[in-house]
Amino acid sequence: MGRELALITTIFKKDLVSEFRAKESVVTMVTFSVLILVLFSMAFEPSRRTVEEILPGLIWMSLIFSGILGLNRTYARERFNDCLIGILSTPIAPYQIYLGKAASNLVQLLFVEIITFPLYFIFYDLNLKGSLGILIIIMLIGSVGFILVGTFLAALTSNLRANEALLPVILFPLLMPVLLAAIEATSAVFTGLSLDQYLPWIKLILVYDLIFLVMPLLLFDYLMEVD
Amino acid sequence: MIEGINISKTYGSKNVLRDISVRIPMGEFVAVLGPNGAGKSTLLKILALISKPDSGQVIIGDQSLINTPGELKRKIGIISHSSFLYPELTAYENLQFFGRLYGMDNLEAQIIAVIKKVGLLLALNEQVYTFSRGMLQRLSIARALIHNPEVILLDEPFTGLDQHGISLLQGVLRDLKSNHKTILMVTHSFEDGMNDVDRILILNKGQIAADFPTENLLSEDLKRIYHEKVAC
Amino acid sequence: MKLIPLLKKILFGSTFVSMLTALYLVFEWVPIERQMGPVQKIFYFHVPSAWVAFLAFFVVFVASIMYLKTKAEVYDIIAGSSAQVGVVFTAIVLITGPIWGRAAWGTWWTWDPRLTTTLILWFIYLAYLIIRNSAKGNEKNYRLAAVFGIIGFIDVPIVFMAARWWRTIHPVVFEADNIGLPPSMLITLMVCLLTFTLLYFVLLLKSMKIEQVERKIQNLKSEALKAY
Ligand SMILES: Nc1ncnc2c1ncn2[C@@H]1O[C@H](COP(=O)(O)OP(=O)(O)O)[C@@H](O)[C@H]1O
Ligand SMILES: [Mg+2]
Repeated sequence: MGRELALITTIFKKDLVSEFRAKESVVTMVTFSVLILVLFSMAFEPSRRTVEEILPGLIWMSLIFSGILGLNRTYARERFNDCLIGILSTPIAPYQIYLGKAASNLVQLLFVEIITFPLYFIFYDLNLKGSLGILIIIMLIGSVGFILVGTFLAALTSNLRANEALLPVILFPLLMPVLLAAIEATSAVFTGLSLDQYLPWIKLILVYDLIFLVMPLLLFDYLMEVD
Repeated sequence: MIEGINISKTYGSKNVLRDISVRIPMGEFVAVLGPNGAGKSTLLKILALISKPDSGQVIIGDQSLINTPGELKRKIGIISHSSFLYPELTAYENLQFFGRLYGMDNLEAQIIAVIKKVGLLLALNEQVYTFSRGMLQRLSIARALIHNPEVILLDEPFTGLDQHGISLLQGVLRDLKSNHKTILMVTHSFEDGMNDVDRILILNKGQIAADFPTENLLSEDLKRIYHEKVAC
Repeated sequence: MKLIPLLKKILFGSTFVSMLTALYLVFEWVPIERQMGPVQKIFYFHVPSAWVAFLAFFVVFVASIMYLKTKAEVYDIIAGSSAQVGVVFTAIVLITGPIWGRAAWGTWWTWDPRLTTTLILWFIYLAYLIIRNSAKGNEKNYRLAAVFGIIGFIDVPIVFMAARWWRTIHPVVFEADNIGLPPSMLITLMVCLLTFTLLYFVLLLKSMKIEQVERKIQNLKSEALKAY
């Protein structure tokens, strides 16, 4: 058990170190999501009412779009110098590669969220009616769902031609439930609804997270097979 | 010792390897020659347990004690024309990463030892993207040997090396041989690294066309045999 | 050995008969519905198409699992062909749905949970076909498609759950059509369901045949190239 965890953290640390050292995707992701929020703030010239209506969707869409930039990088880095073959020649199991990469992608996405989130409050003059704690939980479990599916499907598309353009096309339809649930729950917290009115959404996100944790563990071997 | 028994592999309808059996006893150094597309790299990947054959079996060392694929991979080191190295990481971090994947204890001492062997001690904390092609190849040798494998598999390791790199790699191979390592090297060249080879296999169209010892074999003879076997 | 061609003939023959019967029932026999008029007949195409679409994607799911288990090419061919047929029938659902909606409720599109799920389903299997086509003839690609065929199908029930829950909190403009069907309509619907199911298998077999021939041509081509 300890040994397996050590392998997962080895992948996790390696990805984070090379990512933050190269700075390519983290910087791009942050810049991109800030840009979206500035542009939308200009496009809609938000009044208080429209803010509450569009902001949850805007937040999640900008996160998904900037997250995809990072997901595409994850395996591009492994293909360069055939590093993936190198990894697969060691005793590590494919599911450990998957978990390590998912964890690293999650940390990068959370990093983007921590930077951009305060900016939403500033640019859109938002005052939160619900609980900040619950909002953070929703952001966290929603991000987990997105990253679990995204890390899995990015491994799939990295095998294909035109993979960078392909990832959103195959990822978005599968993300629909978690995205819808996260937007609805976020929106409920913004407008200050009581918890039992949006608890089913939170449950739905958790179910989604669980299913898309289990499925990749069952199927990731097939994506890592070398022929 | 490494052995492949009745290995076949097809891609779609293309038979890349047809029922191949090879056995390399411990301490033997075998070179595999063959034209492009003969299936050399495919065979190497199957022996390294990276790729699965459609049928057949790979045996590495004494398998009576341990036989999970993970444990077996610990006995193999591969060197290829790709370096398997991360440009943003330093030489040390690259070796540390792979050492950890092999689950090694006492990693730091091992890293220093192996990096000294390839003469890169001064570049230990440099990021790999600053390395020249020769340094990269040396580091990839260190990477392959970090876990002290019993069996070393090489896929055209001399491609793109300068004279200095060639003699360094030859030195490493000689060293490995004197340590009784089992070595299988896929190569294009009739000269580079051939001095220490014990046996030559010629692979053509997915089959072993010839298998002979190098003792008393002249370079001209080798070329003649090769062209005989591959031409038809 | 003669059995399979015989079964095929029986299948094609019974599809033909059942198709004629269905057309007769829909356009001649079943009375015109009072409220909606002739437009209501779209119902006999819409519902069976939806059924066939789900059946087709279930077949993709099962064949994908079988392909990963056995690596037998035929399962990949079944999965790919079934997905193509499924996408066509999903498109029929998505076209007939709004026509119905326009006549029944006065609006083209509503985010009805079933229609929403069908739309997402369509996108998922379009993505599936894109994956298949982006590196044709490569065995690795069959594997990637199979993985997506499995994970895409698993996603569908969650999509439906989300869509239904979404509708319950947003105002529902139109009531679901839970009207008990009169016997004549029920009989017609049943015959249509049978016909569409038979039609699915006919199209699946044809589509598989095309794929098999295409692969054979591809192989012959590369053999011929090798001779040079
Ligand atoms: N992943 C693959 N998919 C399809 N064909 C492949 C794949 N890898 C290798 N091949 C084919 O298998 C044959 C042998 O390849 P390889 O083992 O790389 O040859 P060599 O290393 O001897 O040049 C070639 O014809 C090549 O096109
Ligand atoms: Mg090769």
